[in-house]
Amino acid sequence: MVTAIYGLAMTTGAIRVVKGKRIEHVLGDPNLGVEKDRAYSLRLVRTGLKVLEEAVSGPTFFDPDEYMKAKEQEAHHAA
Amino acid sequence: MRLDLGTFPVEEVHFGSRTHWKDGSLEINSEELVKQIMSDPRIAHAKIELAKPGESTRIWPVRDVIEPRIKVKGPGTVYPGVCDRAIITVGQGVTHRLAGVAVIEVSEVLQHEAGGDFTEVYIDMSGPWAKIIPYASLLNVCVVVEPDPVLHVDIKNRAVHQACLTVSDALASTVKDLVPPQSEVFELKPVSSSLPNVVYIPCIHSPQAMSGSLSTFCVSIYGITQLTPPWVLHPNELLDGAISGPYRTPFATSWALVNNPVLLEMYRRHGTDFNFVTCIALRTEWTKQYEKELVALQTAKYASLFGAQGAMVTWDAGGNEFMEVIRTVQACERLGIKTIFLTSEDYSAEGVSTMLEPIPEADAMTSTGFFPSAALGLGELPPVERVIGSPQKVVGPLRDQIVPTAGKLTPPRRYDDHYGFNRLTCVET
Repeated sequence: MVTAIYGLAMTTGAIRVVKGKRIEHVLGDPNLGVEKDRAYSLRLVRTGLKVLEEAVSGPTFFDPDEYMKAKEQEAHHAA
Repeated sequence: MRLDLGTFPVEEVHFGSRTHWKDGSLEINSEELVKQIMSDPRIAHAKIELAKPGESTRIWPVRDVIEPRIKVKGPGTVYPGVCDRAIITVGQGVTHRLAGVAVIEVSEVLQHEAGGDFTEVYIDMSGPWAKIIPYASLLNVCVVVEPDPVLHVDIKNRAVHQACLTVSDALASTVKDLVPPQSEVFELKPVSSSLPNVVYIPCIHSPQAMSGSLSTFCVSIYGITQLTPPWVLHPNELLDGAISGPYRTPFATSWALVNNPVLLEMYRRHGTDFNFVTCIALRTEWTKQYEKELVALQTAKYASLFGAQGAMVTWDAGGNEFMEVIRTVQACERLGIKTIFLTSEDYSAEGVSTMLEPIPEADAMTSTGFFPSAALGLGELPPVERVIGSPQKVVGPLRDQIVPTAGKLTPPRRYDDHYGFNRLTCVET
């Protein structure tokens, strides 16, 4: 679940919670301008898809910046 | 801070050649008042109609309900800050009020044009809906008013609200120089230190996030509707209308805010059951998790700095705003402040909480019923003989049907009794 109100998602039992931007624009950030906004959205969607691969035992929180950075680093080391 | 609130009951209201109160009878020169309203170039049409309890009358659309009040002695003006009124701190001196009468703001103007916030409230003066809303037992002076359509929505809003304040001020000024038949003193005198310190925390909707504007008209604190840090307010300021204006539910009106039973009951128990310390109002509908948490933590911090041992929390909205409200309850409890939460509930579904987020710290709650009016089992409301306001009404979940206002209608969708006005009972099965 991608949501701006991740605290609520966690306490009500959503299993994989990805931090979204704001209530009005969960999957984007209009302050970034069109191109960067699109890149930001894509990053969130990709994070959402990627975390489906994670085995979790309870509500788990994913910050897209931290998570994707870690994944990129892992990929870099593996290469 | 001492406020003497003088009450002038109104038992009868009629149109006449002057605007005048005598022995409970209120005469209104509607021509003169309409002339005053129309002297504002922003206004295109205005008329005044009367609605009395028991009549087969429906008032639609109802944007606000205002109790006529006036500052007689002391600084400032009632309903401060709204529509460019003075922002001088209120709550001292003498205020007079007309009881049993209200000015109803009847207008098609929406609070903003960003979508979502539609006016849904109407008033029936008889029938099943009338039995459960406080305004149907009032003598209602309905100001049916529309602004010049070319104006910006914020200007339209202030124009129609100003028209209603003009009428409210004119009615209240009829008793400015008279001795009130009833008077009550509101003052937080020092009390025994053995009594627990208690604060009242009203959570007040902000339209900023929904409208995307800092100046949208809605329920305001000294005229300000933006998302702002918590406000420390003496309860007397609330009695002078420091928080005023409508939101979109039948219980979020200027009238409800100055007649708030939670506030009045807490005041009357000051010195007997507890020490009523202050009010701390916070704005709701922040749009980020950390903003919601921050405003909750800061509100609880204020309460703690005031030495609060107990708190009463109310709110006036729904949806995601529940987050900062319930987190305020949580934050207070975590600072050792025993907190009561007064709220309406969502539909009860099998085994699922009627609260958006049930948290263990919220261990003392008072329910005012279910907020979806469909849960009240009223069915369709009967047709009426007379409509004040618009003859047609948009209905349906998609807002795609137009029906005659005078015909059978489903009740307004929401019935969230924010402050405990109703007298509904229920049986748990």
